[in-house]
Amino acid sequence: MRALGNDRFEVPAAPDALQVAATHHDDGWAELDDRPVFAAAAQGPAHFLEIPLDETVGPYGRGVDKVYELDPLAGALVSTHWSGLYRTRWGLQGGEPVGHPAAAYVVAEQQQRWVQALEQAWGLDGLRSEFKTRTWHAYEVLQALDFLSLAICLLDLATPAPNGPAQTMPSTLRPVDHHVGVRTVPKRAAHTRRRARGTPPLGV
Amino acid sequence: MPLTRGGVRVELRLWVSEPEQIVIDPYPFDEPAGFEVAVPARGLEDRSYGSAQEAAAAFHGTPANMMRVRVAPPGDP
Repeated sequence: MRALGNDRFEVPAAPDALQVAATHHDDGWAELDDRPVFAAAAQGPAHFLEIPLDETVGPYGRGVDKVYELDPLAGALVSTHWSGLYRTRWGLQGGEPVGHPAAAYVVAEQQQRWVQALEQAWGLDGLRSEFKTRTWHAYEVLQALDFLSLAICLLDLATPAPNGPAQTMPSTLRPVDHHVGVRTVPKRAAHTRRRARGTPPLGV
Repeated sequence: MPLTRGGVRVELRLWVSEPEQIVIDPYPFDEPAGFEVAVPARGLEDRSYGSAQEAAAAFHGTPANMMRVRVAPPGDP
């Protein structure tokens, strides 16, 4: 992102790929938004978290495919983002992994995809460990930008927030109606979950 | 999360400081005066819709307007 970084903050690595990923990571939602999906229980257009997961996989996946066509490294960032939505944003937010079978399929498929894309993007240029660290940082920056975009879409922008206790963005996403207040973008989950015995480590 | 120079992750706070303006603290962007983003949005009546077709008709019958939001550092006048 060309506008990120200043005296206090590092300029993230791979700014071109990060910009493509930030700009296009949610393009797949257009297919659903343009219907729009109907939430029968709420009797209205569905909030994005009211849409059953298995209905989102196809459209969101098609959006990810298009990002890979634009830039493989951006595609890898978006693969990491998508699968991270089902895996506590890879440790950035609390909660449990999403147990839906479609989520497990997406995580497995996208991990395989991003490993191959990152191998290509690294291109034997420099230490792979440094490239990996910079790529994961770019992913984390993408999460901050994602939360900012969600805040813009979900908060009551007409009503200034009183100075008071803050709620984390992840904890406030689900309701359609949002109370006025401060939000935080977490720097990591408040607690870490011990890895279950026998759980294989994640790729890259 | 954006890393401070020195490699430390920090929690970001967001709030609506005035209508159509979100403040981020600490502010990670290199636009010291803040910047504007434009988001296409449709305003629908907050009511029950009897069917998917009725909701879709209301949605597609409402033009998308550009919602302009300013992202600014804290203490911005």
